[in-house]
Amino acid sequence: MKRFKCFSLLVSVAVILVSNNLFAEDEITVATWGGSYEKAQQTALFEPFESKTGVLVNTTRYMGGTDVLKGALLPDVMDMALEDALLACDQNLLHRINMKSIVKTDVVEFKAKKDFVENAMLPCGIAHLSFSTLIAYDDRVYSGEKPQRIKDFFDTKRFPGKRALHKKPSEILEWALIAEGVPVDQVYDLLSTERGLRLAFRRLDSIRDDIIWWDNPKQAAELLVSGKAAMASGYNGRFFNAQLNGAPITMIWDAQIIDWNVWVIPKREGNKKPSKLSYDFIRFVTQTENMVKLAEIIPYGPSRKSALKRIGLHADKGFSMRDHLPTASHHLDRAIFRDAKWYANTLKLRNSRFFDWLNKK
Amino acid sequence: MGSNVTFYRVGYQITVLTLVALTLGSIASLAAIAFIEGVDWLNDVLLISPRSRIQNQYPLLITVATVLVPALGGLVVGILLQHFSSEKRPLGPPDAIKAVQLRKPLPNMRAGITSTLASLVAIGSGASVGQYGPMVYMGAIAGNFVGRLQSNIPNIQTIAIACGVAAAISTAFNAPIAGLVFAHEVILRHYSLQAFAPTTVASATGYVFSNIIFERPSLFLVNFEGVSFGYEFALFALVGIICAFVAVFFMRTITKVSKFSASLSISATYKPMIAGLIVGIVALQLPDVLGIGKEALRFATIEGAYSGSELLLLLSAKLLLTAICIGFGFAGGVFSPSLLIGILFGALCWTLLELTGLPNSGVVVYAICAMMALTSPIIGAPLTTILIVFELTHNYDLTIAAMVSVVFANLLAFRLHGRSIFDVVLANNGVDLSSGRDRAMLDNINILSLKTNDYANIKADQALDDALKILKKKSRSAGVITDDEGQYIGVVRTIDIIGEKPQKITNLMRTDMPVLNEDTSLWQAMSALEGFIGEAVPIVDSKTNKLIGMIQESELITRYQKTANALRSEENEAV
Repeated sequence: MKRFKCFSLLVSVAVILVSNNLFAEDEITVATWGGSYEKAQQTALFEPFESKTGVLVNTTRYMGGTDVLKGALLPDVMDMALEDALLACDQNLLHRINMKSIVKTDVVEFKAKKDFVENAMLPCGIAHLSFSTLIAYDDRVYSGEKPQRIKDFFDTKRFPGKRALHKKPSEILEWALIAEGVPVDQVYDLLSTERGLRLAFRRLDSIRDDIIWWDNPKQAAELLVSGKAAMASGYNGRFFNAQLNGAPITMIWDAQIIDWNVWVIPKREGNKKPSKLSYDFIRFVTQTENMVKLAEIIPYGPSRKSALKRIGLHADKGFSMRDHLPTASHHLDRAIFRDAKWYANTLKLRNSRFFDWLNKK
Repeated sequence: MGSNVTFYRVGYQITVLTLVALTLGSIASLAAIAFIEGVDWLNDVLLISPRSRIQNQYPLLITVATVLVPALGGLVVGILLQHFSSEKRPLGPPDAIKAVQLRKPLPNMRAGITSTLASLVAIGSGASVGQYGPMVYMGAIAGNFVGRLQSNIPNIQTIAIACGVAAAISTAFNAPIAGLVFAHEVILRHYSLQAFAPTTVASATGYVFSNIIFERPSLFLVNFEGVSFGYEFALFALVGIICAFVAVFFMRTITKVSKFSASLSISATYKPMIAGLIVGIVALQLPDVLGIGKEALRFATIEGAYSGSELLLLLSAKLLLTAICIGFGFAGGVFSPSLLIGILFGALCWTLLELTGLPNSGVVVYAICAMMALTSPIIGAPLTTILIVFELTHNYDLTIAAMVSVVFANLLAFRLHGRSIFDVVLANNGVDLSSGRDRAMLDNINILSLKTNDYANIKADQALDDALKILKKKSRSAGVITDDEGQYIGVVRTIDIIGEKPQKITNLMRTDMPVLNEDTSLWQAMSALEGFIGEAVPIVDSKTNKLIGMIQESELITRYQKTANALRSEENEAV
């Protein structure tokens, strides 16, 4: 009996070891953004990948920036914002990606390379979807006159109430300058001057006492729903999802900022080449039909033209999803396309100016 | 004349003129777009544009580039102009105006292309000069080239240059009406249907390229709700009047710096480099002075972007640096610096107005009014500037306000200085258009081209009989008397000799007759001969006093009439 126990213990240890080993081969860790976005990715991308390949997809929470790449525990694949991807690529923290081997087995109907929108193929990644950062407001607060322009966001006299903003020197600078009357086309040219930065921070100063800062993207809609903020900056997909769940909020598409998310593969120490599994994963999630599935759950625009054309009705609710994309023509009047390169190159400067301004009072 | 002939002739002319207009509209417009793109690219690569500067991670590199880029740009400009151009100076709107007004060809193609390249380098490396002058000149080069083709259409060269210029302005400002008007107001200076129609087509073609095919962004977009108070129109007029003084000061400063630069004993190759170095050093403290300054232009319409003292500092710096750059031979125009100086000055006027506490319609209208009021007397184009406001802003209220400022500025500056900086430059080079085109043309015909060598030349020691024989042989009623060295002494008429007893011929000659010299123009000759009765006038070398030849009065009158007729037919030509 004692012997048997010993044996079974050995076996179970062995089984655990073996299965762990098996798992090490058959799972992939993906860093992504949580909330309704991740939920949509689970349904449209990760679960189908698991059932097709038998590989388990683990997710870890990623909140932007490149600091995570300098840590010890690196995910296999990351869903990064374009500016961070460019920065990380410059700092040699990402694997160069061989586009041919990712898209070559994917060519069925379309010449894959032409199928992707311009500049989607980056040295260290594939831009896969466009999202919008924009302002939404609480319908209950503004039952009379409604805010319509980005200027109204900065007008706390006409539209009183707290403003929830991402605690980052990003969109708010563009918006502040546009609220000053700068045309959308020139916003980065003017933000590049000392005077432009000064003006932007001056405008921000005018609402300083009404700002609530958020760190996690899902907070934006929550702050509106809970009534803590009357207007909030956030991502269009998440606001859309909150609306579906009955939240009384409206998005202001004026001066929306359109940006890209990019699939990248972080470099691990001693790991010279990206793993085959990472390539398989990225190949799968950038296939046209999978991109379409995602866009039919959450309104982010796929980077493949063939996918854009095929987007149909919302998976549950049955309304057309095209009209809700950031790139829908009625949303593009005064849209800003984020200059990711400018963002990557001015990160330090923007951060130092922003935190100086925050700490000024 | 058979009606068929006329019909075919008209059909031919319309077809050729339309083709010329379309071709030139396309060429000039593409050239203008390429020029703007080239400037933007150079500004980015050479770390002149704020957008490239802020993205650079090496502050030391920025400092070095700020000082060295304009200076080295100046050196390149100097070398290009002095070693590759026969004109040895930048070419611009004055040369186009001169060619059209005097019906002469432009300077040679090589000088034109070198000048264009030089201005591309100048603006690309951040010199404080403008891009519109070179763009206008590119249009003129294209027009000149096409105009030389054998088309057998009267005035084709003039029309072609006007077409090129119209398309360039139309493209530059996304403003086809302004392009059309600019070509008439500044270049052609008359209105004929023959020129108007092709110029309009060329201008529209330029617009199609800039706005529809390439979707170029506008120079500026502003929001303006309208003028709130009636009394503000008086203020716009006042702004216009003050702008006239600033404009005149600006133009005089350019002239003074040019004179100063000419008096320096430095090789012309290195002069632009000195100007570039000065720009670079100032830009270390005041980066807004670099290049065209579209950012500064934009900020001027935002309330509170500048304090009053910043505005004063920046506009003074821009004014002086532009004068230095142009005076020291940098290739480039005065149009865009004028726009910037004007808009900054307008913002300054508004800032002062705010201090008085007088309610007003905001900074935008004052900035735009001053921008145009200051620019229009400099380029001599009040209508164009008014239309630019209209076409750029699509705002009627703003246009009316700007119109008031522009006319007052123009009226005053015209009295104080002249029609435009171009005209003043031309006048200093012997082409005075202020008294009309006929005078300028006559002024540019040298009488040497009309002289005759077939005259009666009598030596001072000749006997009267011999003199009469010479006069008879030449069948002249008067002869010119010279000494042994051929120096002019006087004129003797046949009537004065006949019946006189033998004596020195010099006793009978007249010395109060008008005498012309080698520099006399047809216009001067016509004035000098007012009240003169006789058949010919001597031309005498002003230095050596030697007789060069004589000119017959009938020749003067024939030439005068030919010129006047040519002008009349050009300015009244239908198709």
